[in-house]
Amino acid sequence: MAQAKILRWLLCGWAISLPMLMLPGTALAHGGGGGTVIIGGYQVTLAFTEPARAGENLFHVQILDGMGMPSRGAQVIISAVSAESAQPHQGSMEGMADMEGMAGMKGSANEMGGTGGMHGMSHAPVAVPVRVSANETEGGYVGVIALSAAGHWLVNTHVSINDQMLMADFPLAVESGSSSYAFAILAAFIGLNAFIIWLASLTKRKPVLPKPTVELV
Amino acid sequence: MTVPSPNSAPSWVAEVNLLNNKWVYRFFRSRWYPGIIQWPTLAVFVVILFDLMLGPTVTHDNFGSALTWVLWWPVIPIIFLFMGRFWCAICPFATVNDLVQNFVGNHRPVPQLLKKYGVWIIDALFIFITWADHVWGIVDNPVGSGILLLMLTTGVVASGAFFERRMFCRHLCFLGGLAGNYAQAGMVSLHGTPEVCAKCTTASCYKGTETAPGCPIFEFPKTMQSSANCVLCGDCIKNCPNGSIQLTVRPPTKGLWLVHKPRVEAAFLAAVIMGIVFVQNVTMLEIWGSMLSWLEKATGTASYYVNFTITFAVAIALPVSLLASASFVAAKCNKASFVDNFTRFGYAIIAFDLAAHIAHNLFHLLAEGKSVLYTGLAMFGVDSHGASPALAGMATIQTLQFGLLGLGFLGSLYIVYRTANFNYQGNVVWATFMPYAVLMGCLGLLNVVLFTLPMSMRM
Repeated sequence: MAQAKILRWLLCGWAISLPMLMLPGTALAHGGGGGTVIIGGYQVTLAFTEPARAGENLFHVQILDGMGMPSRGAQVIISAVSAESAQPHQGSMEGMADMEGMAGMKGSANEMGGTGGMHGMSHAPVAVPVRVSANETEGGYVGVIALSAAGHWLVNTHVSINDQMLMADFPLAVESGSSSYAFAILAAFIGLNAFIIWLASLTKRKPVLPKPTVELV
Repeated sequence: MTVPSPNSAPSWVAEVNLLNNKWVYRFFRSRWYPGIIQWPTLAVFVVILFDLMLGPTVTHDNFGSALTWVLWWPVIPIIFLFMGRFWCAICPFATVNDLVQNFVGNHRPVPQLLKKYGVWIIDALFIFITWADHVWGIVDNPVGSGILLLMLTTGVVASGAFFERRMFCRHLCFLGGLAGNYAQAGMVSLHGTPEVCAKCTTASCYKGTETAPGCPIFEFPKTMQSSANCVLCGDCIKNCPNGSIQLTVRPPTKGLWLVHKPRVEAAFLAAVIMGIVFVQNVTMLEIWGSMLSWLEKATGTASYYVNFTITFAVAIALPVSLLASASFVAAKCNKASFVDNFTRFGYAIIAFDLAAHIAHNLFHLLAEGKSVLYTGLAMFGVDSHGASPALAGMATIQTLQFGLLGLGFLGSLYIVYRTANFNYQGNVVWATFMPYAVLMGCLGLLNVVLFTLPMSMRM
């Protein structure tokens, strides 16, 4: 009876942990890199919702006019190059002719050069320049940018608004991928499975041994 | 209810028993089968898991992502078509289940809840995982893919540790549900010889012997009437003392011409899969961004959760409601109940599902196939910078896609005709056929439109 109860709790725990495990990153959410500049009468703020890591990163751009009111209808494009290879405004402008097909939030973090080539195909992380467009939301402009390697990057924000082109650079320190997070998940996985196996070994029914026959004399 | 006729297949359909070939027979009876394929598959699975969790964090560069989503996922429906549920025999999850069971297995009976509602749970899991993929980015994120595999592994470990046989594979695996549907349209069928099985009193195929365990998926070849739950593990072939088991090759979709015990949940899953194919296509279209923007304006929120969920619900509801409408009309004509029509003719969608599923994934396989090689080489430091991942041009891919859709459409129509012809007579056959033919036409048209539009890549 007690074993059945333990088993039920275990299965409930597993069922509850599923959706929680499916939320990568939500538990780690806290402010990341970015900054604010005032340019052409507008205040442009770039913020990452989490510390930038190698991989996909959600960013948020807010544009306030001279009155401090959010500006709507702007076209916002973010590009990033590694600081080592960057020349201000030049490296980030490379590949701008290849901007079609960048709309759409999901999977919008396409690499520069489109999808035809296999950029960054080496085991050692290569800092591949990227460029994505941001979608307008109620609170500003959001998008996802894929940064291929850890290190120092230069993020350039291009804003087209009211026939004005605003450009601002932000330095960004990118941490190495989510390996610590992945290690934590792996550790949890191993721990949980070890517990299940241990519990199963405890609850395993022992084979019934035949009773020794008593010789009647 | 009409009693199924054993000779319902037309005379031109000749089934070949592969076990008549002594090499095939020896292979299936060998103690090396399926282990010789199972263990290397498990080793590859471990490599994939390792790379997903600890390898490159960008999907584009991750070998595990490429192997899983560009090679395995597109190839799996093709395997179901040609080899039934053979994949399930060598699936790493099944191997893990058996391994854990051998050491600590409690061998408890399957809970009644799962026996009764297993396929509904599979339906719900399949819908949930597809939804989760889109809102949390499982395919787009190597770690996300890794977490999914780890969760499934945990489920399999728990199943193997506490319950008998492969309970997870039979009653919980979402891919198993998909495989069960597709395998019925597959070209391989395993079953007992009725005359031989009728005299058998040992039931070794189900119970197991010292040679091999009993059927891991709880099937009894003596009474098995469908390929939905046969994984071709070969255990029954090893166990049968009378050589009753036959492994036959049959025309595609033949297993759906006469479904002995149709189940509403399987018919529902068939319609849901078509909806999922729509979702997969729509969200990979280049116009998806514009659609999303329109949806944001219409709903007044930029929340991707909300807007995608609406799209997802519409896409899933569309084929289900079309099937329901066709069943409603057919019920007026053939006087059978709505549920009976929905269940019986819902199976006809499976052929179209399979074709559309293969066609969709053919794009990823042929347009991105070389990324498997490139990401694999990258693990050894070989840089393939700038190389095209395409195995074939778009014209070739689209020709194949439309060819497959055409075959799927014809296959589904033929299943509808056979089902109607078997169950009804005279004018009722065509009166029943017509609503479902219109249904298939609608699904075909939707698919053709979606496959005509340019699609973005997975990697």
